[in-house]
Amino acid sequence: MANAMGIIAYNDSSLYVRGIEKYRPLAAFSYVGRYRLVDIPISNMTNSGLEEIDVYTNGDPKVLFDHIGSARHYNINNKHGHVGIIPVFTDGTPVEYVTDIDSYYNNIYNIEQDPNDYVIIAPVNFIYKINYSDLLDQHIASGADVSVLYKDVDGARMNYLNNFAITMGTNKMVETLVRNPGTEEHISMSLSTYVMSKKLFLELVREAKAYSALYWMTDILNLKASQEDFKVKGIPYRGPVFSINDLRSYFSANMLMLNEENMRFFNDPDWPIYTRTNDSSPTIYVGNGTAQGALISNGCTVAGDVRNSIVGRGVKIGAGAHIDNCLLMPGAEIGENAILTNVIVDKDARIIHKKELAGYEEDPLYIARREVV
Amino acid sequence: MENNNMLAMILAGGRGTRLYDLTNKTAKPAVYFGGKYRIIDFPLSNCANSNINVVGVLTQYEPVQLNAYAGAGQRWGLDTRGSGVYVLPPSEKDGTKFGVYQGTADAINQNIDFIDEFNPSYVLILSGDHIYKMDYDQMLDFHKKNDADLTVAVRPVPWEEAPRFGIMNVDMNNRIDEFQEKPAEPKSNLASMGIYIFDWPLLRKALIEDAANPDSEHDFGKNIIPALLEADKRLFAFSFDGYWKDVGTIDSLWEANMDLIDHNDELNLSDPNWKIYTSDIPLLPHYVAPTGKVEHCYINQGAVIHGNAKDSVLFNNVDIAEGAYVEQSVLMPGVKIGKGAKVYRAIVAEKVVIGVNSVVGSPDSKDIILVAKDVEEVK
Repeated sequence: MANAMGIIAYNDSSLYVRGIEKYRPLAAFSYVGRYRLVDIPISNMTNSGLEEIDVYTNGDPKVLFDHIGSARHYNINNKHGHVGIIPVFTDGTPVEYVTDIDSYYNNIYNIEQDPNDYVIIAPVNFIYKINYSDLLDQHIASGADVSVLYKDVDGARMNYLNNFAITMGTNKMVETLVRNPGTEEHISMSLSTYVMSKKLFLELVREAKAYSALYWMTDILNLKASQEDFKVKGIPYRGPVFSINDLRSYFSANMLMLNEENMRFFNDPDWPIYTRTNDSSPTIYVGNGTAQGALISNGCTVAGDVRNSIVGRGVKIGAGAHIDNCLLMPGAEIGENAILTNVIVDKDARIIHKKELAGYEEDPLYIARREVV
Repeated sequence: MENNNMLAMILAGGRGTRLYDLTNKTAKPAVYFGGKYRIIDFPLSNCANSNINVVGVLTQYEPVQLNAYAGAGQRWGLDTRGSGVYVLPPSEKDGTKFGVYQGTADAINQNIDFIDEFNPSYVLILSGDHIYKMDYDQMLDFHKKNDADLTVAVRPVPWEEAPRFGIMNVDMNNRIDEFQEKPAEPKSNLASMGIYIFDWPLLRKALIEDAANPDSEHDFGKNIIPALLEADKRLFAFSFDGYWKDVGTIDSLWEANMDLIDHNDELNLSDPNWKIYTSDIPLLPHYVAPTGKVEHCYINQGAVIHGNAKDSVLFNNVDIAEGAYVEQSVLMPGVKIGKGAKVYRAIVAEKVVIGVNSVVGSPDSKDIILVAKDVEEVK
């Protein structure tokens, strides 16, 4: 067991995924056919031995309550562990102005009561695999006040635009933590993952709250990093990481899992990604149904031809249909002879008449939840 | 959910000798079926879906794996207050000699104390080696409506096969007036499915009487049912016409797996109103590589396919290498098929490795082969 409580944070409104976000908070986005994004940080935490986890959310929490439930499926012994869901509480302030600091502050009594000495804060918009227990050890050994996980990335002029970047001086001491300005090709991208003592966390929340109603955790950390006597240390992450900032990156964060190296990295029996089962049967391929270069969830009926695509639970693909480079979310139905290329089909949407639908790889077409085309 | 005051006992003690190496270290009810299930998931899920809260599982042969599996009742939602799955191996009691279950009736007789603790009005007796979906609550309604002492589930079988079964002869009101065990000249084609609903006080009394009879084999079909008929008790036959398969042999286990591909709508495991619950393996959806191809298959999450699979059932963690070919086969969890290997008409047991370029089975064979040991690579 790690001596840390897990906090799964929400993002500010600059992170916006067109379409999909209308129906659920980012944490509840479908991922690779059978997961929701929140499964990734929760599984990383429970695999690391964290057993006290709170999921903060600023969207409609209904889906999360249903999905997380008693959290037993995350391999948590819910007699002495728990996964809580903490929706935004607002006294009239529009939700988008309720910062993560506000939400921590509203819950401060419970955080104080938690028996762990450290907190680990993780986001839902980065897909990565890390042992937080090791990260905690590294943090403690370094003597820093706060550790920030980061990844060196290229292509930052065009991508990762609403993520945060850090600049570091000697000994990987962080000097600034600001939004990626899009002016440099190469950045050290913050993975919005922080380790600190619970005592310091509580001090920072109170200080930020007193300082400005608009302060987020990143703002107070950026401020503190500039102070001489406060040490924020960057810890590099070396594995693959997929970032979600908009519709295009959400699409690619899914499709990158079709790369076999990535797939094997995340499909790790020693480090499973847990999710809620819905007890669907295996998938059946009928008639001329087939798949190549695809990840296909359970409960599907495949009568068409699926290439380079991710297919969610319980999807039906009619005879003669051709699916290429698509992301089909659970419960979608693709009628006979439909031809879909570069399309995201949201939950329970139906493409029922013979149709050709195509988007661009860089700009996939989005079919909304329960829409009938 | 409201309890219907019926307790279920699953007879899961069978050695399963006709499944050969599949039951070397596993009781028959724990044998894998249909890509992600074990046989016992069917009666347990049927119970859970039929408002039955307490299920006893009677095991004796290689019970360890089955105990660990069935004891975790939350898989089937059988862990709320007042409900549970209880694994009941033979145990030593005062005044009895410790031993094995002598017959199906003896297995229940040895657990009378267990059943009494729940004080049910009805006891449902099931066997742990059949694949089917059935609403036992409907059968109980039928039992009550007829004011029956015992209701036996029956299914019509082809007349020429009737001599292989226990046959129930019934009158116009479905009341059983005669029971013939494997009759040479059957008078009806209604075969017993080995599913019984008894009034518990009546069964309790019959079991105690039977236990005292030194000539009895302590078997429901051979002893208990004939005795009740003799005593002119009210026995009724409840007809079931859904999919039902005894999977006691390699051939029938293979056929039942193939039925999931060829007659998927008959058993219909994707019915949202009657799910079959099992343990969920936390793995990604199944992956078909760009070099892979699947046709006419039934595939669970966590399988990885680089080669070709046709007319086959693939469990989780199956790995088919590039250039390998699998046809009309059932690959159980963790089976690895090496590059260029070919597998025809086979059941390949859990974690077996089929070596590079080796060939197993034949596409023209009438027989299904069971592969329970690793097959060496061919150079």
